[in-house]
Amino acid sequence: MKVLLVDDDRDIRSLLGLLLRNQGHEVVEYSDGESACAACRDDYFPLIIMDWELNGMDGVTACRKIRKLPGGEYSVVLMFTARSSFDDLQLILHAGADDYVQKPVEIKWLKIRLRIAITNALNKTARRLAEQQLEAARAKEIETGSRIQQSLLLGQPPERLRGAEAAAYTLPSQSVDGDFYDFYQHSESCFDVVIGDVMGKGVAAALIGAALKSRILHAISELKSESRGEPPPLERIFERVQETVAQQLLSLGAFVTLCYTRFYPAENRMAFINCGHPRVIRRGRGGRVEAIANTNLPLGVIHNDRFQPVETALEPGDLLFMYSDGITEARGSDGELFGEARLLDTLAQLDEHRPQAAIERVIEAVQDFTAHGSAKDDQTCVAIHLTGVTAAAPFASDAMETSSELTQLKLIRRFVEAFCQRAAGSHCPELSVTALVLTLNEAASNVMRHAYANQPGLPIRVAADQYADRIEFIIEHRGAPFTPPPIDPDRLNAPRESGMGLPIIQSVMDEVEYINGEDGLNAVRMVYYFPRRQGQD
Amino acid sequence: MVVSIEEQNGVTVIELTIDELDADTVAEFNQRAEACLAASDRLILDMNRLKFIDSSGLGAVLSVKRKLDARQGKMALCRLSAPVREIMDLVRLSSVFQIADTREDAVKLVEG
Repeated sequence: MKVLLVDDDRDIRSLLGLLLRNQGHEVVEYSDGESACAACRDDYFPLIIMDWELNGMDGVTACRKIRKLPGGEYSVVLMFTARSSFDDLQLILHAGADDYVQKPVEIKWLKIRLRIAITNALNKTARRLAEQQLEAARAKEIETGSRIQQSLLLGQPPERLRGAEAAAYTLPSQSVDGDFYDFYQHSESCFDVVIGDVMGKGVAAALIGAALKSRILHAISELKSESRGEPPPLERIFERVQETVAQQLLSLGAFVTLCYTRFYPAENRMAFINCGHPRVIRRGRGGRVEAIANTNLPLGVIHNDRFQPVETALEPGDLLFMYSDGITEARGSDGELFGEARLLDTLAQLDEHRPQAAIERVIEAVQDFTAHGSAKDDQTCVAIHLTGVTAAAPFASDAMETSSELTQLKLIRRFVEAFCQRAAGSHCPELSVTALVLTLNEAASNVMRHAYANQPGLPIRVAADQYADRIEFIIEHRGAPFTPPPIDPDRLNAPRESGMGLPIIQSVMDEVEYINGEDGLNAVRMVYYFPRRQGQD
Repeated sequence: MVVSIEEQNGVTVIELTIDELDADTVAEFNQRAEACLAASDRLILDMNRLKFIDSSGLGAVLSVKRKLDARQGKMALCRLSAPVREIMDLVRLSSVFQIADTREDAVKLVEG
């Protein structure tokens, strides 16, 4: 055991040093308090034997200082003193010493006192080790939880939205919480934002959050395939999620606050279901702010809640702000909460609407309020800005009229090839002309063979528009309206002799829409976004 | 005629003589392929002139392979142009077929 021996009397140091070394201990000796403190700063001594009277800093002061060092509580301090008054002895114990030895002392008593001190020191060392291991295990758990959070709980804001822009941010607290958010984009003009908070911390909360997110995703994709690709109604998503997770949450004693919002930016509206999550804040024109009312209890509180989405009309320019309670429950130095009123005020005073800027401003305001103290809870925000939809004119447009004979497929391919080669030349060298030619061929071939049931001589119009970021194709016809069956995205993995056309169209195009017009004019609209180059936003 | 057919070392080589195989031209290809299937268990499809193939064309080629597989026959594709190769990759058929760069290599793949 490493023993620190501090005495200004060389003879006593020699005697004690000899005793301890004979028992196999390693002894470090000093004659003054300052050196003893410095040694303890650099090293851990399970046992410190110190005289009260020392050169320079006395033993009681040194003991007090050592106890304040990180890990200083894990040493056993045995104080030697010639003093014997009650007040003196009390002073020694108040300074943090574990025991004292009154001088002069007979060697046989000294040996016994040393044995007791060494036993205590062994126990404290074992406790120190156990606590260090526990601390390492806790740190490991936090790291695991934080990795789960980063990889499974936080989604990426969609980049290609028509009439809206989105941003999201999480400032993780020292421990891991169950904050999560995600985005589900149904089309460029319809997307969902979900933001939630699992009550509790650590890996358990992160795992519940991840499981819930996966249930939501599962519910969406199941319902979407049942509704032939239409975005499923919010209440149906919640019913399905509730069926699968509410009982588990109840039995775990956990609950989750969740706000699920669907945006239709081109139609200037949104619909949401809010289960006990902080209210969505809307900032409208002129800095007018309002918090939009809550409807439901958190998930896991009751097992058969009914869900009714709240519809809200919006205006171009509106900013919608969703957040976790880590924002409003951040505490200032006096213990006061940041609160919803302060958040509303911060958002009212924004001088710009970009969602990223709004989030930065809120985080800054919270940090100023908490005097940059570390966050007790995750601070998560998602902001959506309605930019308004302006119909930009295409850079290039072309169209061809043809008819429903299969021999015309070749002409359609020539048309698409020429249009795409021009687009590749002017905007996107990486564009795969072959893939687009194949896709339009498949769509046109479907129109001829299925919508027109192989009847020749019927009209088909193919049009292409090129924009800065995409090409839009439309094939118009007067054949039978067509609604595609749900397509398994992995269908191309199982090669088949027929029915490959739809999966090809689905895998090459970013958006495919079948428009069945009331006047008998039907169409397939397909959008291909140019691959994004590195370094591009 | 969409194909020319010849015999090389006991293997039937079908060379596509058109540059695009699509829903319009696939019926004739199917007829010729059926005739070859009736006569031979070892087929090579030489695609050097082909610049485009759509899902009907791919389906027809896949159908030939499946029929041969069913009776332990062998088939290889050879001399694919870059766009046809790209389409095969896109529809994930490249790994389904044996593909050779030259006709000689293709013959070796199906011989024996």
